[in-house]
Amino acid sequence: MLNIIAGTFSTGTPPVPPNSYESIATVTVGSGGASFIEFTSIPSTFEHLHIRYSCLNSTTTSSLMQVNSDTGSNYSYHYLGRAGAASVVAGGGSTQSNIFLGNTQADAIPMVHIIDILDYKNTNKYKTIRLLSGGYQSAYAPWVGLLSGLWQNTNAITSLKLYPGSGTLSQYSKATLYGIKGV
Amino acid sequence: MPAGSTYTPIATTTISGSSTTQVTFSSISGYTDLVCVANTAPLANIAVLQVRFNNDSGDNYSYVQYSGNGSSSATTTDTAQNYALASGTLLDTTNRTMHIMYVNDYANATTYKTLLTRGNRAANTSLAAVSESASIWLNTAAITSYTIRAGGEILPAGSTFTLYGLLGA
Repeated sequence: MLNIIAGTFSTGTPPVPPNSYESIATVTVGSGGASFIEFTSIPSTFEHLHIRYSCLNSTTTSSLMQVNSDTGSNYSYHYLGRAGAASVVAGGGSTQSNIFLGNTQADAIPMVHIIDILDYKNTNKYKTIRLLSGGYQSAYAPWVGLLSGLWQNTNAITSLKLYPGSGTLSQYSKATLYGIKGV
Repeated sequence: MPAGSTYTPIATTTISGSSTTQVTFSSISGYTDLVCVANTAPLANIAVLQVRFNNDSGDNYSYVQYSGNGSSSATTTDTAQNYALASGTLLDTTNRTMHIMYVNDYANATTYKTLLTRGNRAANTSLAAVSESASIWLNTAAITSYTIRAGGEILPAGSTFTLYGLLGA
């Protein structure tokens, strides 16, 4: 790995450690829509998780995530971004029942989330996530933001649920879960 | 079930000479998502890093962006543009920049395509800056070519552009 990184700085070519990035599962919502997308039985053979999520929603709502089916008030989140006609916006919440991933509209344009969960199987610390989120869903509601989330539980993450705050996920919503290995 | 290595470099272009105004990756297929990493050398003029899909130079793009330089922040949004925005005026005449650009589900022929980017201009001066942007391409066609340009400015020698494909299970 160090040689790969050194090569990056000397040649300018970004590194791709061989066989370190594996696809675990992909879910695409079908014609009937779906209430949520859930990845279960996530293997503990990786160091980190990476989720690429494109959602289309039946109504104006928020994108949310829960871990290990925990519906308690064990989550917090913060965001920085640009929303609608506003300038830079920032905010957050604590003792939430989910992690906020961003706002989304009922629109044919997908809202995209790029999510990283580091050290997801460590049982000695709470779990944090970071994500990049955005979509130009209408002239009135474009959104782009950088967010962080906290799950106050030391259990290893074995399942992840992605869902809208109201309504359903529309057809062609899609999420792919990747595992990243360490050396 | 893990499906083996899925993060594959499709192609890398390193700029040489002094006449290149854009880089195009074409005949893209066989993946689920795309990630493009752009590292630009200082340009002759301040410029905007732009992306076009399938050589579409029509006014079919809209974007929103925010940025910060350590002391202030700014945002911008525009509709009916002829490019997707990778970053505002991060490209300057004295510093290198790094951009990571994401397109999910690029081969889907049913939905519009969203480009999500993060840009950094690292500098030991007040010129240091970061940005994040989301753009939409109002076209449902599968993306088969990916063009990066600096608003018509010459891309300087030593700039590198790498396109990766991610393959979902």
